[in-house]
Amino acid sequence: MIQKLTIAQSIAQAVNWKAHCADCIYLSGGTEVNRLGSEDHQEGISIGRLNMDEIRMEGSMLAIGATVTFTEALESDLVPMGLKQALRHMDSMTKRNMATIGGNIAAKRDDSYIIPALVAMDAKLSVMDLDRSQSQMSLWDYVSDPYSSRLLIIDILLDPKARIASRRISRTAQSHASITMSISLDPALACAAIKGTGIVRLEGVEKAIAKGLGGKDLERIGSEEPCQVVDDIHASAAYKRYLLGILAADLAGGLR
Amino acid sequence: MIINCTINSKPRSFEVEAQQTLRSMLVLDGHFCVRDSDDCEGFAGSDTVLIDGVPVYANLVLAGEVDGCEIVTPDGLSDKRQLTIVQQAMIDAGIVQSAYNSPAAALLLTWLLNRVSNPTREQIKEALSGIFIRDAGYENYYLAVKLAVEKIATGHYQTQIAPAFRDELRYVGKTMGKVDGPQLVMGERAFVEDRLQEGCCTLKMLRSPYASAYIRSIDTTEAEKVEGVVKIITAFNCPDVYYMSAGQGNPEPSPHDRRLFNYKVRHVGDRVAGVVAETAEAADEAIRLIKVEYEVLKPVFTVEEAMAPGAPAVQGGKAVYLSGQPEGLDKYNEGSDPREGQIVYPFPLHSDSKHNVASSAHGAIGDVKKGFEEADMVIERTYQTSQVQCTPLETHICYSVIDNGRLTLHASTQVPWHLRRIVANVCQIPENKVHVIKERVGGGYGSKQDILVEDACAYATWITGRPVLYHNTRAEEFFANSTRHPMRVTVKMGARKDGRITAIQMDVRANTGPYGNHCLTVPMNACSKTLPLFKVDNMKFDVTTYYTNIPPTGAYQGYGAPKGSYGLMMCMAELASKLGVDYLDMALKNCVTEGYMLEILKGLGEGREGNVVPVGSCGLKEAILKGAQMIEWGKAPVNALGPDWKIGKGFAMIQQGSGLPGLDHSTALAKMATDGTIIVQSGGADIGTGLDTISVKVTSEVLCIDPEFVTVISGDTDSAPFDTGAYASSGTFFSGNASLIAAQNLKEKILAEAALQMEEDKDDLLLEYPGQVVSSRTGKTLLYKDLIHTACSGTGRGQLIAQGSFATKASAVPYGAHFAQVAVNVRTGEIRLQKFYAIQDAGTPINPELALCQMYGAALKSIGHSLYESMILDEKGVCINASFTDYGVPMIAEMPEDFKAVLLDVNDAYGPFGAKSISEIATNGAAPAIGVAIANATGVWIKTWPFTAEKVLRGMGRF
Repeated sequence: MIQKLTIAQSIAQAVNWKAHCADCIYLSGGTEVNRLGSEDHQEGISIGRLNMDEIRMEGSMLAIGATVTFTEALESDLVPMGLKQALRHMDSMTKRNMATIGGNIAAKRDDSYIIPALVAMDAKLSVMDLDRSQSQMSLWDYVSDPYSSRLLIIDILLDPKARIASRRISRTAQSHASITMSISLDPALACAAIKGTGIVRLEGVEKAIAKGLGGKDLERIGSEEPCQVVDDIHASAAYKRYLLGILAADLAGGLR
Repeated sequence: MIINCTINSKPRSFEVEAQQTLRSMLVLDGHFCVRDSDDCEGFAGSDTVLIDGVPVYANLVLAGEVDGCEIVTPDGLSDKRQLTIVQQAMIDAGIVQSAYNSPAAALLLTWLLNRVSNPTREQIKEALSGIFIRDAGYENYYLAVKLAVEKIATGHYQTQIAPAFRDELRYVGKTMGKVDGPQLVMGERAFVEDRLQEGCCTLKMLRSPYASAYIRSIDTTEAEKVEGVVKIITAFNCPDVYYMSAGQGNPEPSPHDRRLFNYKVRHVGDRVAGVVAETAEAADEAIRLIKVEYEVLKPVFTVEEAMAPGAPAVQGGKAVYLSGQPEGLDKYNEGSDPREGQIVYPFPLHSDSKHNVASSAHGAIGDVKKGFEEADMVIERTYQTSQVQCTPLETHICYSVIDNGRLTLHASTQVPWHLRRIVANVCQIPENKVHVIKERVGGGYGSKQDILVEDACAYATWITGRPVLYHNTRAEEFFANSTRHPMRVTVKMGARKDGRITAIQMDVRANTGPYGNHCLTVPMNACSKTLPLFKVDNMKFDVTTYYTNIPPTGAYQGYGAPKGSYGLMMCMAELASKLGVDYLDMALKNCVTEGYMLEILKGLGEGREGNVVPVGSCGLKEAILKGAQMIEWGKAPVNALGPDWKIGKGFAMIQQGSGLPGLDHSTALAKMATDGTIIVQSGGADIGTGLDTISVKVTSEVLCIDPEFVTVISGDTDSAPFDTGAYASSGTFFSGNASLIAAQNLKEKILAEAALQMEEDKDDLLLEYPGQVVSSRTGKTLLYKDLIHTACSGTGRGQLIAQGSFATKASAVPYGAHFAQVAVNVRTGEIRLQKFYAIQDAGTPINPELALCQMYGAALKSIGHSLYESMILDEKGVCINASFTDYGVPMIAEMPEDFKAVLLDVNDAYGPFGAKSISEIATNGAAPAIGVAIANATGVWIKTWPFTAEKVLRGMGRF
């Protein structure tokens, strides 16, 4: 819950406010920040009116504005099928009408709907720092940076021809996923959101894919990824580990 | 912050707080049908509105962000109380039941049809993907859209809504639309929360962080200083009255083992202090300032822990018997710690609270030992069911006020009269000082058979004189409300090579949690609603219920039957598999048929000897055969999913009851208004299922009058006569029969009065549609309006009023069979429910469209229990999945791909116009049907709920 709301009229204004308030949070669709159980924040800076809701081609790259909603992305002819598959992991249409791509990246949920897919697509982010400097960074670097909440995501940039496959395993369509995994063969990229663990780059799987391995080899390598996997209310660690292998093998096999 | 926007096309301006949600703003502006079922979780969709033409959750939008936006709320759909085509179609399709989410669903479907004139099934599924429907399932939402599309295109419906029954009747067995449908679907004031007066106080609870502890002291000094705090109630200042929460027959078959507040807390979330304050914020602040000193005790959570030698007693209080006091009670009570309180037994429940036994029961017919010796094969299996939550969309709520010196409760309850009795007892006032108004109930499913919030709310008002609201959060529903009892069911079954069962033995160990409400009857139901399905000479049951420190349990639709059914049917299917006989053949060989004497019932009464009766009207065999034909039993299914998927089929035969013969009692009054229309005052509590519509239909049928001219007032303890309440599937059979008898008695009075006025012989007179008396001898007619005018003109004999009272020892048992086909992914363990067919004998379905929706709703609930739902406690007893997302209820995405409900045509001898009960039975089939289907697909017999992917794979030895 936030205690104060300010509606930014420009990107610069939003960043300026954020620079003066460490506990402020950028507020986009609201499905994370305003939701039950969300953290308290002193102030929410609404970025919904900054015209960052455009989907366009920039050269050979697809640029998706940070405040584009899941529904808007799904309705766009420009957005590749691989990302659309991941967007549909959020099963509630009503929530998809509100949730934004940038907001869901910034939330870094350990059962993220879309981060594994975007990592597998080797997506970049156009961001603005507190000093108003604008730059591009890889989405993976953003995810890995514990201080990235200072950055305002402006665009998500990706290759529209990127070919990925994704799977989400959850008890019900709207339960938290135990595993959400996405894989690309070329380049060899593999990423999983593991509930209780977080967003994990599956480096062993990536190396194996690059070597052309698949089937039982990938099952074994995937299940032995050196990340810490924990029991939780959704699944045991053993099941999640097992799934890491099975999904890696199946997704790679499907792409081949 | 000032914002300007339009709401339902009207320009509006608001000053809003930063953290204020859009929903809060809309409710304050009078759009109260924008509701909250999930504490801002963005899950249930009760808060759905349109912003600039897009459906969103109003709880997740800050009011400050809608400046300049166009907002549409569900109450903005219809103008001047005129139903829209979509709203009417929803009523006609039978999906407006408890209806807490119906206005939001109407908004979503209207939005969809404005975008797509003839949406596909996938588009409808998409539109409803963000709204939780617990009552009616989702299947007939597709029908509602189809009806609306047809009406828009052609001006009328082309699709049959539901089959019709009893050609000779005008209203009964025909679709008609629920009488309270318009009020509910349009979002008019209907629920408790819609009755609040400005300035009412809020009651909030300080709850225990410990599963078991004595309260050494409570210091409320600082809390009482908070501005706006009116009263703080604790164990140290509440009435010393022992009672229990179950709204059951009086004397109750449950121990009185709690006070409003106790000196010992028995579960995480147990009441420690109640704060009455003028604002919610003041109550929260006061709760923060209350200082409690606990003496923490060792808890027990499972049946195994509770029954272990030396286990700490959850209820170690002094036992007191109101009747049937056992020998040696004084010695038994020696050493009881006064902080444990008392356990007052209305009659013996064969308990041993010092060893955590809350109740027990045993019974047998024939010679089980001999039966097992005669068997060619005997297997014994133990099944464990989990603790599941009823999750009504409307969380438990009560609003109490003092009116003319009396306590008036606006309640969302299934049991208005039990509620009045229990509240009067708690407040130590006579029942005439308590007025219960049952408002529309936004989902009960058994949980509103318990008095879980009304006791504290009523007492708070009684001692302060202030209007008080007590409204549970969603999380409180999980850790402080009633849930389904976890049970360990051991079944031993023996059979001959040909599949003839020679003996069945059931051992039921139930976990009642901290209090004993329903502790005898729910577990007994696991046997009493399953063993009578079998034509077996040798049967034995042992039922033992244990106190533990898990969150409270209680009634849940199906009561104990889903658990017993799961164990018994799974065991029979596995035995059939081992014997090499077809499970379906085995079921047909052993199932009861009409006329079979049910000796087993003798030991299965609710705290007294049961009635031994023969099987009455029975569609069991027909249901099994019908389901087998629909699912193509015995035929290998087509696998279009690939080699990783294995397909399997299963089924279960099921039964329930129709109320409790010999225990339940219903009454109704029927009176003629001065224009010839009819008012029925029914004790029955319509909890969304259409009971009021049943009263209207049976009255219209008997009195030959259009239903439009019959009004039902129900569930109000001042204006309606006594009824035991809506539980145990009693509504249609008991309350419906009371209305029927009242109408029949009014008919006699009409004929007698007409005979006098028309100067005819009463035997020559008939009632004739639409609302008149006709002489078969002279052809003379007398309209009701003229008849009653004369009767009330000052020279007549006064208003015509008749009473109907119904009690019986006769049973009207509904039967059925549920069939499932699953596909199991043997790599990931994922389970897809491809087909689910519910075939039921409900006697004459008085409201066929509502009956079908209740079957869909109940079946989907039990699919949820079987595959997804389970409350999870940590090692300290904290429920760690107390939200919808964490808990995992089935939504439209979890619907079976092919979902069918079929009503068989069976006419019962005792039900009103041949009707039996409908919905509870429909929770009994899913677990065994799906469990058997999984075993058929994979060879894995899963013996615990829920059947998760992980359990399948572990059973297959995959990891």
